[in-house]
Formats: sequence, C-alpha cells, structure tokens
Amino acid sequence: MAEERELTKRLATGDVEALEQLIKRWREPAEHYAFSILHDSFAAEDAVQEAFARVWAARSAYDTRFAFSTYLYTVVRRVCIDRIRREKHMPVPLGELPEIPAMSAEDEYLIHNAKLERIHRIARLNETDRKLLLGSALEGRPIRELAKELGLSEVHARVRLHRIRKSLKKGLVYDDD
Amino acid sequence: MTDSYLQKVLERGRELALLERAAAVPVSHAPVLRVATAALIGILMSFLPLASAGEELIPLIL
Repeated sequence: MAEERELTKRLATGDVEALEQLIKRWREPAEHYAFSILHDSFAAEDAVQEAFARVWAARSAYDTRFAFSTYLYTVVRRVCIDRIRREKHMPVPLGELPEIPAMSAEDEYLIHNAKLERIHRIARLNETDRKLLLGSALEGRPIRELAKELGLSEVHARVRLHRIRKSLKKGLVYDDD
Repeated sequence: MTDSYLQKVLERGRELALLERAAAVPVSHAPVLRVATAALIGILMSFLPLASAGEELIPLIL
C-alpha cells in the first residue's frame, strides 16, 4: 500500500516508470471491471487504455489520498459510460447495449476534480472538433483553411469552435453529428 | 505488458493534454474588431454626406 502511494506520488509528477508499474498492476482487473459494464472484451481493453490515458493527462490533479484503484475504476466507469452513450446514438438493434451504471457517491466526489472532468469532456470531442481546436489554437492555422480541409463552411467551423469552447467552459459536452 | 501498450497510453494522454491546452488558448478577437471597424467606417461614410447635405438645407429652411 505504501509502495503504491509512492507510485501515485511519482505518477503525479509525470514519472513514466510509475505509470508503467501501475498499468502492470491494474490493467487486468480494470479490464475485468470494464468488461462487466460493456460485455465486449475488445471494447473493455480499449476503454482501460483510454482510462489510463485520461489518468495520465490529468496526473497533476491526482489526489494521493485516494487509492489508485478507486481512482482508476472511477475513470474506467466514466469511459464506459461515454462509450455506451456514444453507441446509443448509433443505429444498433435495441436491447444490445448494457445499461449505464448509476453514479456512486465516490464518483460524485471525484467528479469535482476539475482537471479530470475537463479531460473527460475533451476526450468526448469527435475527430473533426479535435482537428479544428488543435489547428486553430495551437497551430495558428486560419479557420478558412481548416474549414476547407474538414469539409465545413467557414461560418460552420467558427460556430463549432465557439460552441466547443463554450461547452468546455460551461461543463457541458457539445454533442453534434 | 508490451511497450507498445505504454506508448499508446502516453500518446493518447498527450493528445488529451494538448487538446486541453488548445481549449485554454484565448480566442483572438482580431477578425471581430476588423469587421466592427469596417462597419463603423461604412456607417460614417454613408451618413456624413447626408449630414452635410442637411447642413446646407438649414439656411434654406430658416
């Protein structure tokens, strides 16, 4: 337990070796947990990989008072919920998707970790929105050029960007097409 | 665990962190300011001749 606490402290500082140790220890049980929600082994593996990525992206905000397993399982649960919600928008036969698990008190508490919450929301952005955001904000490319590349009108691209930023600020994820 | 698994986690994590940074970059209002200035100049250009024409009419009215 003390060893794990040490690992999580190192994780919070961006130590890749600590992340590797935590993956070794928790990947398999986390995949079992994800499978119990998704009932699909491939999706469960991918969900756990995504969960580790979110944990890594939000590592600076990790609260070391929590056991890593509690933290990871909460993130895995959230990734699974995102996946179920996304797939519910797809045309699949009714009754094939599992129910979204209810939020526990622990989830409610962890959700107040603002950085992690922002990462969860960002992870839900689709490919077009990701390209738009990165291209305009970090690469400094003109919106007109990005819009053309993504097959959007310039006005649509500007509106999308505005809505992405607004929704991330407000805390609501912008769901579109 | 394969090394590629760790690399994939790091890659996905880096992309998320990058997107978070991008979302935090303040929006440039330069195009909006340019449009507003152009609109203001347009309004002035349309109304100034009318205003000067109005001034010429004042002596006629009085």
